[in-house]
Amino acid sequence: MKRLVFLIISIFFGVQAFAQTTISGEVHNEKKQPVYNASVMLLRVTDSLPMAYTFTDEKGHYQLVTQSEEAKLLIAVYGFNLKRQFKEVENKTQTVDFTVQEEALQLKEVSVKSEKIWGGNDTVNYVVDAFRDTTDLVIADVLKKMPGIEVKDDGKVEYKGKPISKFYIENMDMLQGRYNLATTSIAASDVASVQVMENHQEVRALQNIQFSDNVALNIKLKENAKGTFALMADLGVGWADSLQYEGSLTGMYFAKRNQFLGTLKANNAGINLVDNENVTVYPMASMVEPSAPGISGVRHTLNRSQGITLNSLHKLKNDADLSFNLLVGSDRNRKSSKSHTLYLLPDDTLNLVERMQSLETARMLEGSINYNLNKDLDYLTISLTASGHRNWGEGLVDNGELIRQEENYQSLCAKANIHWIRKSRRDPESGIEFNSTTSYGTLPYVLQVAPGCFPEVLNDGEDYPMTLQNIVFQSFKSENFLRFLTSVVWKRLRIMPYFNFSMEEQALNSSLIGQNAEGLTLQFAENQFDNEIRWHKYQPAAGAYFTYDRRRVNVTLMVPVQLRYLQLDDRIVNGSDPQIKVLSQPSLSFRYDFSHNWKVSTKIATYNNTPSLRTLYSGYILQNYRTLSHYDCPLADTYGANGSLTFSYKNVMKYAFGDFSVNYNRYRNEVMYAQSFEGNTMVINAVEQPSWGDYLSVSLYAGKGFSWKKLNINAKCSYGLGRSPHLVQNQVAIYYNQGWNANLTASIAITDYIFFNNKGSFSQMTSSLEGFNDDSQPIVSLIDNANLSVVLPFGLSVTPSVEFYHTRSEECTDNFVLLDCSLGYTFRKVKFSLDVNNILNTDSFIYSYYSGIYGYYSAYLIRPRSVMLRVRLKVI
Amino acid sequence: MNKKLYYVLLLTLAIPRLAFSQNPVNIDEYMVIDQSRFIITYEAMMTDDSLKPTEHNYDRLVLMVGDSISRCYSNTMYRYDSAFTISERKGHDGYKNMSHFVGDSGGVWVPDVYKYYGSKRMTVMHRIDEARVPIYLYDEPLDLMDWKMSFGTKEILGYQCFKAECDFRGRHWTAWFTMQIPVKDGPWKFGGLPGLILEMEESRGHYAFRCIGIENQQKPMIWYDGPRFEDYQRCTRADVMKQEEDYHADFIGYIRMANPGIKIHIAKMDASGKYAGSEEAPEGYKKALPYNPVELE
Repeated sequence: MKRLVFLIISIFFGVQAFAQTTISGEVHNEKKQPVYNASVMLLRVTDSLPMAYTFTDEKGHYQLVTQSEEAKLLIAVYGFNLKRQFKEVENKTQTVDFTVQEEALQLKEVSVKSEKIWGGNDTVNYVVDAFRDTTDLVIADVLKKMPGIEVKDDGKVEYKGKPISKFYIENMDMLQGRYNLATTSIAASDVASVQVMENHQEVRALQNIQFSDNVALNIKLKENAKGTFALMADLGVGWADSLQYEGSLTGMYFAKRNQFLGTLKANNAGINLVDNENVTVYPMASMVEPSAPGISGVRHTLNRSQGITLNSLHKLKNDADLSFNLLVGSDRNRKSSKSHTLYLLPDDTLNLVERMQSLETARMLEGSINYNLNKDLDYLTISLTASGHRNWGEGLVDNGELIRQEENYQSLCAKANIHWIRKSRRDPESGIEFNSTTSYGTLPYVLQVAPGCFPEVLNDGEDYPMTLQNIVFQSFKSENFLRFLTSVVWKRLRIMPYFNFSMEEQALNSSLIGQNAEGLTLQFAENQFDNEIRWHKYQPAAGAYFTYDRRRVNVTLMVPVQLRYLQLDDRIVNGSDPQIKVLSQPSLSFRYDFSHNWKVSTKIATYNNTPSLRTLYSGYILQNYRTLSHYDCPLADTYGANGSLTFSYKNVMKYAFGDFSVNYNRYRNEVMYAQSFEGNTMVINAVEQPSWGDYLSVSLYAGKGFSWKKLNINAKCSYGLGRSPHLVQNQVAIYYNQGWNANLTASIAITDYIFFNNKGSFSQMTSSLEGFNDDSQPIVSLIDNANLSVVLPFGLSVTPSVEFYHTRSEECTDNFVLLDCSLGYTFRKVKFSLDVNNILNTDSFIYSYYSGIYGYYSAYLIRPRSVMLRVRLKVI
Repeated sequence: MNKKLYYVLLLTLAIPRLAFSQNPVNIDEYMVIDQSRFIITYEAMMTDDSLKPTEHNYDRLVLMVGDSISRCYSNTMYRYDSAFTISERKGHDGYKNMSHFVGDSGGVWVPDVYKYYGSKRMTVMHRIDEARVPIYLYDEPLDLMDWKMSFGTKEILGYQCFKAECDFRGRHWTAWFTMQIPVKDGPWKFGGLPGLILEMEESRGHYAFRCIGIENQQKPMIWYDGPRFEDYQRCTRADVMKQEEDYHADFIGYIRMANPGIKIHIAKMDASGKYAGSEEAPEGYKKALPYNPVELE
């Protein structure tokens, strides 16, 4: 009976049963052991598309069913650690067994495109390799391409248009502000990521107590770059109008507990190895000399410079950092220009045309020691810096008459800082903070001008051969701050009382003498042109900080009360009585993060300035051959207030950064400085005449990176409008300055081998004198700098670049182009480059601007066409 | 730990972004359960609110494949746990410091799935978005999907892929898998195809997983067994879904329930939309979050 039923069913469904194929079998390995969990897939022979699949059971058995009507079928057997096998079989129910071989599975890797940027509320991390390309040598080259970050020509870094305040390498601050040494030395390929920390409070004990809007940058190195000493050598030799050379040796070591960076450099190719970073006293007089244009120093600095820097940091047992920095440098700089200065006067415009040449030599030595302990409850920084500068200069000015100038000065500065915080162990909200900074500077200065200046003022109208101005200026400053962290906390409101004591002492001794034809000293009018003045300012203050801090809101109000004691002790004219005033200059800052991406902050501060000795001397100082100044004025104040409102945007996922800010500043002066002209010479007198001025500026910053072709765009735009009163020829004149400025930088990787960078800036400035020359023409300047890097096979690359300058002012329009080209070749790890700069051999750089009541136009001599062959290699 | 907590919820703003306070684990406390052979990285796309189908969030999923175990976890969650651990290592209260943590991409793929090939089951570690509730664990069988082969091929990251489809818990999914990587695995709970799934797409475009990286990497695969392990709560998938539903239906009520004694403050806005102080939420104050779970059933 059962058979019958089966038979009937088979007849009934016979056609379908015929089209269904069952393939079964066993999969075993070469040792005849069954293979468990192998994939068995049935594929169409024509296009290898899967029709059915199964997995083998513990006994290695499988069974596949298909209704395909194709003549042939393809069976694939594969699995974890099995060599894939295919068998083509007839489309009929059958048994197909497989013997498979074992094979370790190795996948074809696909590296995850790392997120170029990631980060949280206050940090942004940039993955360096995502921005780096083969033409980038040092980390500064890559920083330039990161959205939100800009690198200045000197290697200094800005984030969203704001200079960074701290630079760390592996979270350690070895370079103490001279971090451009690192950005221009550390190889781009050694850096894993760059971290930007916004609202960075470097003092851990003050985190959550004092809000900070500083930005810090941290360099994280790749593992293989840590703990090994690297010595890099850069050598270059070439020809401009004479032999050009450039050489540097850089040694670097970055480990967990020790860091070292040392450089030895020499060049005559435009890099100045002397800087004034820690100088606190500046000369009160100077030679009239060509003023360098705001383009890359390499273009215009015709110099010879040598320098050594040694920087090291050691972590002590208590995790404090101890760092040493030493800097020795010298520079000899030749300058030449033709300039045209325009003084806008109420009744006249004064023209001054000068051809100038100068040669200056500077030497410096600076050393510093820093101890820094930065823990949650304890903070201690002790830093000592001392620097000495020695300068000589000689200059020639031809303004129809030939004027010889010579200057000679040396400055010595020292600075000490102790900053100590101790928080209570029981209540980490409370504690005590002490911060004391003391600095001293001295500057003896001599200026010699021939022929003698201002004969009508100084020498009864009688010409004489030479004027000698001697100035010794000394300054001492001490600022001591004591604060109780949280004496009262109510909810999130914190009140912190503080006391401050600051004192400033300045001394000025100067003498103005002449020399007659016989070389003998001429005393002018019984030393009435000399100065012997002491200036004292003591300022005790007490006040309180009120802070309110929530996760997204931060308010800080500072209310001080100060007692100010000022005294000008003039030993030649009678000294003035001390002036005692009670002042209060409160300030308020507010920040609100209204979302992930948007923040708004505002700041309002009031200030009070008193002139220092620089603008208080009653004798005369020859500021330069055409400016003789003297201030005849009692102690006076400037009161002012400024406010700012900033909207800040950041969207890390979209690589977008933005800032919009409005600033307004208004001030009131009790005195005005009268500038009167006698021929080509200017005399400054201070006159008691209240006046006010203000300045409004609006700026917008936007940065955006794209995944597409690594495109990165940074744009900055600003507008400023100012009103300032001047006293000219005994009349009050209001000057209005206004200006636009727009900057755009962009970089793009057109292909994997072609990169393009462009940097453009446009500015337009006008200055007008109310009621006199209201229709003055603007000065327009457009600068564009474009370069293209093409990576060729065999380690070759070529980088042509062009700089275009356009200046338009009332009197002239200038367009000129600077062309450069660089050919690179990499052989193993040695990089060669042949650079040809200023191919068109342009001889001078032309620029002009308005500043207050001046219009200035200058043609400055720049470096002629130069050819240089450079080699960069890793010695160790 | 028993300090009273204060919350200010500025309810006019995008809440899910603010309230990123997933239950952290200390990643220093673990045991090694296998060694990975490959590490596959996926980009996960999610849509929190089905009424706003074009607003997606993203996370990165890491699938570690070992000989007998695989684990698929969220990279954001891992970074979050790392930050928590570093903070704990320094002796801080990790929970307190986590309030400032912000994910990269706005999205967090919550379930952490361990697949055990031998016992054919998976364990899902699920954390609900509020710090003081237990971490939930539930088990499920391994081969949950009923796949249908459809004729289609596509090359993904240089691998030839075949197409398969399935209906899974209320959503229709299309998978792209490759026989060149003979692993029956995929992102999240997906697996069971004769090859690794490199891409999954949900038919309404609410969810998708796309492979973005493949590495041959031997790394320890770990199971966290720190002190918080004792807080792990064994339960069923239905229990977790219930918790998530409750949380999304009224997250303020949920926070109150999970953190007894908590004070909840609500920001007030004046007529012009300005912040005008906050006041304590009245008893029974409710607030719902959009809910569009990957498993609808």
